Amino acid sequence: MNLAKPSYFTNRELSWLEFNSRVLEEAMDESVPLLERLGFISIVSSNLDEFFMVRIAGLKEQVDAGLETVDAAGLSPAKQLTLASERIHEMVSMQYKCYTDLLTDLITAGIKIIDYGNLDEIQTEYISDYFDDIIMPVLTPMAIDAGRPFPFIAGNSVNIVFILERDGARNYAIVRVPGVIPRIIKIPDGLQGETYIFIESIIIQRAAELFKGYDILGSTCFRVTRDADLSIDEDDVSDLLFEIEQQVRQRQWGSPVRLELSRNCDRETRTFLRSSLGISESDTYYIDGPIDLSVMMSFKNRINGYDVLKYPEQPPLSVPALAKGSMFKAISGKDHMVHLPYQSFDCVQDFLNEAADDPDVLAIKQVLYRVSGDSPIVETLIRAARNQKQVTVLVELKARFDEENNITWAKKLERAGCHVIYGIRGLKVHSKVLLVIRREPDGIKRYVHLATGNYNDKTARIYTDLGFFTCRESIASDASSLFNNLTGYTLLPEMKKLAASPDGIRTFIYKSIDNEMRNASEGLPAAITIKANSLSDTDMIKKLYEASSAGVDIKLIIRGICCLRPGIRKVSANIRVKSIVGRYLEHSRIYCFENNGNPSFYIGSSDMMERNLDRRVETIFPIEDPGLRQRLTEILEIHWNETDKSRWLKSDGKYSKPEKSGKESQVLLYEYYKNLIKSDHS
Amino acid sequence: MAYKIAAAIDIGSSAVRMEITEKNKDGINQLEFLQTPLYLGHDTFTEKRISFAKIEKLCSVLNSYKDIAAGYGIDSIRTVATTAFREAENIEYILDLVKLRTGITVRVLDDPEEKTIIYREILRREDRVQKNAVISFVGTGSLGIAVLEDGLIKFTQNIRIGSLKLSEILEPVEGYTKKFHMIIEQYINTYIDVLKNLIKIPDHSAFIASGKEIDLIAGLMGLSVTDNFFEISRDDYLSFYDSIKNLTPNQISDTYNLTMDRAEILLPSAAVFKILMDFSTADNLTGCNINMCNALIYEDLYPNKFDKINTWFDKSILNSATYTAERFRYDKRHTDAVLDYSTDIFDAIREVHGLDPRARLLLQVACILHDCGKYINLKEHYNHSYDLIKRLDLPGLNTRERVIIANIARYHSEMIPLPEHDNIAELGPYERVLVGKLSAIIRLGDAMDKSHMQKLRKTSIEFKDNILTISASVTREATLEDWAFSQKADFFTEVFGIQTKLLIERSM
Repeated sequence: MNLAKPSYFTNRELSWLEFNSRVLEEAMDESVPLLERLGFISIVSSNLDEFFMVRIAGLKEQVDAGLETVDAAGLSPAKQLTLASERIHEMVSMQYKCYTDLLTDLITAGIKIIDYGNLDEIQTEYISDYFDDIIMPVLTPMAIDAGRPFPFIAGNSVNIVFILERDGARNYAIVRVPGVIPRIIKIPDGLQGETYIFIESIIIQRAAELFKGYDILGSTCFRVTRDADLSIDEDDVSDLLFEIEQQVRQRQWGSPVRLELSRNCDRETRTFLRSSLGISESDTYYIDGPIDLSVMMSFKNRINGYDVLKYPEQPPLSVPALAKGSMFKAISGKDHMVHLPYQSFDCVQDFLNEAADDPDVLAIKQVLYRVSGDSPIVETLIRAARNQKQVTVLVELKARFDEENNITWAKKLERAGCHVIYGIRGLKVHSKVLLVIRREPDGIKRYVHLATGNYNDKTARIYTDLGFFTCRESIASDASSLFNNLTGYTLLPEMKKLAASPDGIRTFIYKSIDNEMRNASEGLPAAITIKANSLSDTDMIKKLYEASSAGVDIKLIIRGICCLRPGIRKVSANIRVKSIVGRYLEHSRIYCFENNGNPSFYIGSSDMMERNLDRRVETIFPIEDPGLRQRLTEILEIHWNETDKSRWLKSDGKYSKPEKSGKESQVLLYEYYKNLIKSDHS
Repeated sequence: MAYKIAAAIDIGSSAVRMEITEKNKDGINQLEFLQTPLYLGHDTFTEKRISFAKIEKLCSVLNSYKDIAAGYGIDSIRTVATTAFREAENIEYILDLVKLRTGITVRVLDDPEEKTIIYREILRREDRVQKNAVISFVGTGSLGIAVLEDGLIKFTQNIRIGSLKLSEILEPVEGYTKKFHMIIEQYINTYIDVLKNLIKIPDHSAFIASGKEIDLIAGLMGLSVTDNFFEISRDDYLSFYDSIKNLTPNQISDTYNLTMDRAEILLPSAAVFKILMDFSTADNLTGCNINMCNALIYEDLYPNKFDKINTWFDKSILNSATYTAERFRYDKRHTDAVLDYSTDIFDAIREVHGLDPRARLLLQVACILHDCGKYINLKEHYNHSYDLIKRLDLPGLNTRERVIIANIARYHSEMIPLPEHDNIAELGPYERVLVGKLSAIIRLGDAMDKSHMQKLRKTSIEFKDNILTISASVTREATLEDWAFSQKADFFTEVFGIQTKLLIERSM
């Protein structure tokens, strides 16, 4: 049976666009609080930015290089670009329509974003002063004429092109919207409510002062997105969030891959810009609103009050057994699992704190992947080093970006006496591992924390992730071997419990699938349930098709990219796929294999993309404690049975719309954990 | 503290390894076992020097191992090196560099020491070892064979070929033949055949194999190697051997999913074990899963157990020295007499000479072997004794000790150790004095049986007021002994500052 037919696969880029479309759906969902919908609008934009900078750019490079290799779905790079472009145009159009609707709703709720023309007298005066004092001094108009060529436009910056005339001659000038000033400016409002204005609105209005002696015939906002020339981790959406929040310099020098242009742009200007930048018509996007809505995230975060427009507070809950007393004692007694963001990340911080101050702790080893600069974890590790602990930190940088920005925190760690290792050349370390070695009266004991998400206190409130505390010798020994392998030069010995990639995880998953297939062929219960963020590895998909054909019942909860097509007769009839996109970014990864009535559970850092399975250091580890296995069963059930945020993948690659029936997993799980506290389970 | 933790690093010919193990109330718990491939042996075996690039890499590895050990609170790690270091001509610079860059003082084990540690470790797990056995250790750079009879080592032989060395040496030949395995077997047999003449294998000997390669082979045959010992029947082993003997390294690599380096060593190692198993005439191969790191760590964790083993080992040393002397057709009764007299003298003047029990052991071995040179030529037999002993494999004694014994044998007769003798000049000051003291004693002992007729009986020794008085009774005239004694007394007095007196009483 040929399981490799193109019609059995969805192209990865198009699948991702469908994911982004689900994010847009959340923005359009009227049951979601208004300001949060604005947040989703923002994510749609920042997602697209990254998509253009990395994925579209990559496809263009392939086309330029003359590569015509088709993907599993049978599409050449050129064809993928065409289809993607179509879909994106559609998406952007819907996005801005939604934005416009949101604006209207916001006005009703008392939050106004207005144009210069709508300012009243007092406001005009305020803004006028603001322009004179703050904006004008940092503007640098760049004229374009015979002596001054088209300037370099930095990637992702918002710019305004002015059409100027003097003495019958037409010229252009470009003003970049300054990044150092907030894009959306708050205007004092004597009345109730909040009023804001976009900075470009002000600049356009007052432009005459920049171009004295010229007539301004018109103006248009535009933005160029460039090839970022590096691969950013797509499922860590918060990276872009951080970047935008902190206004990190973006890659500025790649060739342009997209031009966003206000709809009001006249033909001549449009042509001028496109030819100056070297961008085609299909890569030009006409925007019915403010360019670059990613700014909406920081905007909505700035708004105080208006709680009715926000999600109800769900403060992370404490983990009953870990909340009091020594964590070492608690973990010695049994294994513990923590489910973020429903439960609090504090326990990890507490664990580290206890380790840093405990005189019997000899060593702390941790993988730090994208930790924020002022992270309390970093401070704790520094304190541990000063307390004479042997601290080893494997720092994973996002390539040239972070290096250029001088990771001062990593240097701080080094100065404090920590042994810092900056990743491994050619191999991204994606595992999330923390190991503490402690000297106890009966001997050495090793405590381990393994997780599906990073040790990042900021993402800990936005992503769902699972963390696991244990002191089981077999797992601790594997974790230690993994560290030795990553931080030293030693070979990785055979793992006792962990499966580690490169190499290990694919083998492990195939073996588990084979086991299910064998059981199915003997008429024994055979099923696989996997919750992950992406499924794009072609070989893995074929393997799942094989399993389905053999009669294994397969349930997949894949949040983002899914190149598999379920429900195809004789290929994937036994596979059902759903995606959950909601308030929190689903990020946890859970693998469950029925194993003839004795199900085995694994959680870990790995998705099912080729890069996870083959090119990164990932780990998957078993959950053996019966209580925790029961909990995982319940968690998976809640996800599988939820409807409000679930979209079912159909065999044509499209997704259904969610059904509202009051079963929202991200709400139910919070209740679940609240109940745990009540019954004081551990 | 109710537990103890130890670490050891072994710098081998194909890899650097470190083990960290603790002993707690539940027994032994291996916390870490690390290995880093590093082909130092390749450099040494082909160029006779280790390149500085490799030394740099080695230092990085050692430093990272140190960090890992520090994570367990360990700040000093016993570090040894074997063949690849030992045979490198630039060894002194290497040791210095390593010390400077890592702070680690590497102890380079000589061949006999290396084997001693391994044999001792195998025998420490003695519950499975029978009374008669052929024990073998195949390393990457050398191999060792020990023959055990009635629970004591009788004979050892170290051969400077190992699995890696073999594959390096024979690699040029590989392309020329379809039956590479036969070439390997023939090459190894050139060494083993000679052994068959030198020692008769005791009946019902077990064959014990150790070394990384036997672990690999057992793993490939599907056996678990986590226990102390594992058994492979002769038939099973031979059928495994048959299945690989005609394969090229590439084919082996593909079939068994091994890296090329391991694939290249597999056939030579398997051949070595096959031949040794034949040599032992055993029906089974008993694999012993040990390595140098294990062995060193157990010494640290169980010092008391090792005292017992060491005592047993000393007995083995004497046993094999005796067997060696037998090979050289020694005069057993004379030797026994010299041994008795010399050790009595040693014990009597203990407070004067201040030497340790190890020195006593060396004296004993010297007594047993002092006349072996006569096998070559009676003329200047002491020089021949020296030459022979220097080149023998004596289990449990390291090279330095062997040289000391050789020197004692050289000076047991007439010659006085003088600075201009080369063999004396190359000794350190402590060794020179030791040689002087022990040869002085053995001379007296030898003199007391000058006639080789064991005339002096019921000897008693007294040491009082700085005079060593030896009384003996004889049943026949012992003028020769008396005269010989007085001849040797001067040297003795010069060395120890003690007067000597020999009182012979003739009984009627």
